Amino acid sequence: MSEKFLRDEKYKNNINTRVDHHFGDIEKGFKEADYTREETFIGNHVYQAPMEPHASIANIEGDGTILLYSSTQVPHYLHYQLARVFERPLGTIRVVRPHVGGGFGGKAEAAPTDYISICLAMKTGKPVMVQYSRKDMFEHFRGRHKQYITYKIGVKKDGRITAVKSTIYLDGGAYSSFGVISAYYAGSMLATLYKIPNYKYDGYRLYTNKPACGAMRGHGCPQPRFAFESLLTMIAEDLGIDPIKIREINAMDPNTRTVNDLDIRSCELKATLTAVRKKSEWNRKYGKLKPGHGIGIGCGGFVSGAGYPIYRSKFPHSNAIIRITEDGHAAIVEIAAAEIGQGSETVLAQMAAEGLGIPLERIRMKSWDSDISPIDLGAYSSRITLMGGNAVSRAGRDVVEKILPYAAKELEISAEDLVAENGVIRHKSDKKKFMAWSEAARMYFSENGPLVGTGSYSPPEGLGGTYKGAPVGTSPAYSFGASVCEVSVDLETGKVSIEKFTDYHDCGTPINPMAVHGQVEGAIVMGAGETIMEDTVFDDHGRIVNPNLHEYLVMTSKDVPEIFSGLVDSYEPEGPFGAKEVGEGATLPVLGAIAHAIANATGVWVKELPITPEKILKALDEKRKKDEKTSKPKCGCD
Amino acid sequence: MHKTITLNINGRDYFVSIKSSDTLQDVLRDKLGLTGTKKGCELGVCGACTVIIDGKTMNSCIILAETVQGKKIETIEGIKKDTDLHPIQKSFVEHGAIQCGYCTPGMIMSAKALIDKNPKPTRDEIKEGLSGNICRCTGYTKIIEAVEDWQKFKRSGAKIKHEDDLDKFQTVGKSMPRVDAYDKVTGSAKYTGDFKFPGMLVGKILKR
Repeated sequence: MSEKFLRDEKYKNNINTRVDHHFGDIEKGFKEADYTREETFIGNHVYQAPMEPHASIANIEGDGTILLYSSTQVPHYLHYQLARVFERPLGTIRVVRPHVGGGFGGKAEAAPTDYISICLAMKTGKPVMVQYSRKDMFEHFRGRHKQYITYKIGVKKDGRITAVKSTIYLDGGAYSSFGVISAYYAGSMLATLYKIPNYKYDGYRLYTNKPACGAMRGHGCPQPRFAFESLLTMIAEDLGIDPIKIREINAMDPNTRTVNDLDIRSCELKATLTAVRKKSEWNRKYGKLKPGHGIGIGCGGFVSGAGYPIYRSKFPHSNAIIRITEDGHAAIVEIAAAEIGQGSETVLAQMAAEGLGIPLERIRMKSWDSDISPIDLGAYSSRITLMGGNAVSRAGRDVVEKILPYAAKELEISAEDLVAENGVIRHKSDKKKFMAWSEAARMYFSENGPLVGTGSYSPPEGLGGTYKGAPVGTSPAYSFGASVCEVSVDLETGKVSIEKFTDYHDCGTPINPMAVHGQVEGAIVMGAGETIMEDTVFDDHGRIVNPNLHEYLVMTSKDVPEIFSGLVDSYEPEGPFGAKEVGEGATLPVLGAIAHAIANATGVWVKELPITPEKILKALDEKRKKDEKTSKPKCGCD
Repeated sequence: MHKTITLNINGRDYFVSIKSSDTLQDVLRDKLGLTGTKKGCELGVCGACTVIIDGKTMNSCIILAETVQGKKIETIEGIKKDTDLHPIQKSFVEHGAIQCGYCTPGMIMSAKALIDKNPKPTRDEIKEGLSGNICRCTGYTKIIEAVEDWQKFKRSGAKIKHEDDLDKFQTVGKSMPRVDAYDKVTGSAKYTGDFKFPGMLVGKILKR
């Protein structure tokens, strides 16, 4: 590479991250294989495009405190970063997170609007708002890396995977952002879905003349998952194995340690496959549709909260305080977990209510102000339901433990025989013996002062292996899912219409099924846009050609398929009430399912995202030429 | 040059001093504090700033305020009666048709304009009617269902049956509406860009 293109002498050949992972014995694995196939796939630069532009308002308060309102999904990391940059104690800064209009990873770090508004407030002595325009948002980016992915998979005759070799180049833009982690995720998460005995991953994250790429929904994983799922289906079809069957054969089992030392607890991937086969009527449709109509399968899953924080720290990842109003009626739940649209505020309120034993309408959430609520690490890595949920339900139980002795005294029943539910405290088996929850709480207050419960959550200690990069991909729990997609493709124009999605997800116990389905539907449509239309286009100088919502295409109501979202029975022991994530995991099966459905409809695989009509027509054209060549008589006697 | 105009918004006349270049969105948000009308793209493509003008939906970010004098303007703040939500708002709440809520006001305005004219739209008519509003969270599915089902919510206390709710717990496992749903369907939910501190300056990032 010419010297002038080098960003930094520290990074040879502009390689900002190099991952060199080898688990098991790849050579032995390929030797054992009866069949191997290798293919290369190319991803796209997808942008989160949340509806609300990034905004910040800063004010220097009378006592010198920095007050910052920010559209952020990680209030604590923002807070921590501000303390470091402005070189002052965390306690002299107050971060407020108002309603946030979507993030998807695009608001997962301190933004220039935050720093600039604070600097200007310091200079002018006035409150200052700085807001991004839509174009600013695109230029700030932090969207998906464009990945160049080569997979080689070896299988036995029956479809069992013996070895996987992965080589990925990630186009990362001009800065690191989350990119180091993205490069590790692109490798580590591959091993959670199927049993892979031998696995090698070579990852290279490269600096380029584009805006920085970062963490977006499914962080680093959707493009590798698209590639892997596509290749696995190609292999199944090469060997005449049903593509759902090859997934059932290789599907991860519960309570398994993966080849790269990730601990899977609950896992119902097989159940999602069985359910999706039946509900989509796969057996009746697969291989039996007319040309131009296709059906495809894809699987995916994700971490349910990162096992380790972004910066080295020992404190719990989620922390909650519940304060009961003095009359014993309402519970004020304080936890600085970022509601960004995903629904955390609602499910946390539900879990707090369940832990306390009072109805939901008596819960008031206080999650937006660092002066009021203790730290939760934020809305990233699909972590709040599991981690925040454990914190608030523990805080709820802490409150109950404090008031039960008062109820026991009043009812003359031992505290062990009492249970708090639906606003009363009653005998476990004799429902006639009860008193009002609020009455017991009032008694506690009269004697002790404020009734407060606390709860925290830290992931299990020692998650993951000891090799370099081992923390990335660790999690207390993993989600799993399978999606079947049905498409029609106009073979003259290449236009794809995504008609139907049938999805089953293993999210453990659903805390709020309607919210779960909402996440799945959103993930399917975002993933579908990413597969067939979304792409940030750059000119030769790294400038974005389409930095607006007119030319950067996202799906509208007219593009959406009919969606069925279903849940399988599952219980995650590490999750609150058995729950785990859905928001990011549900994105992952989508790309591969669509790519397969398009291949099934057209007879050609498009291995480069987005799968546009042009690429489909080009592939059809190449296939036609190849077919003509092979069908020509060899003697040339015409 | 400033001039004073009269705008009829949600049935009330407002006298506002404007510049000729002020868009209706600027006036609604910055002069009248009606921040339920959101700012998403400034290009007239995302629909977050949708208002209804004489029965038709318009993107208020690309309409000059002075051109809509004498017209009847409806915004998200005007569609509930006192504390009673409009049935379409209730339907959004109960169906879970809201996530981040940023597209919600515009989406509800488009839905209202549609059902005002066509109370029983087909699924395709709904998709067409909402196609100018981008939602990045919901995948539109529950929004389309909410519009399809809106008449049910003329009845107070109407609910939806959720087949896969769990009986195992009291509150957990139940499909409950979002705790912030009311604020999001009425336009009262405040996002950072909706706040106005006394004496606040507005900075702009200039590049190149």
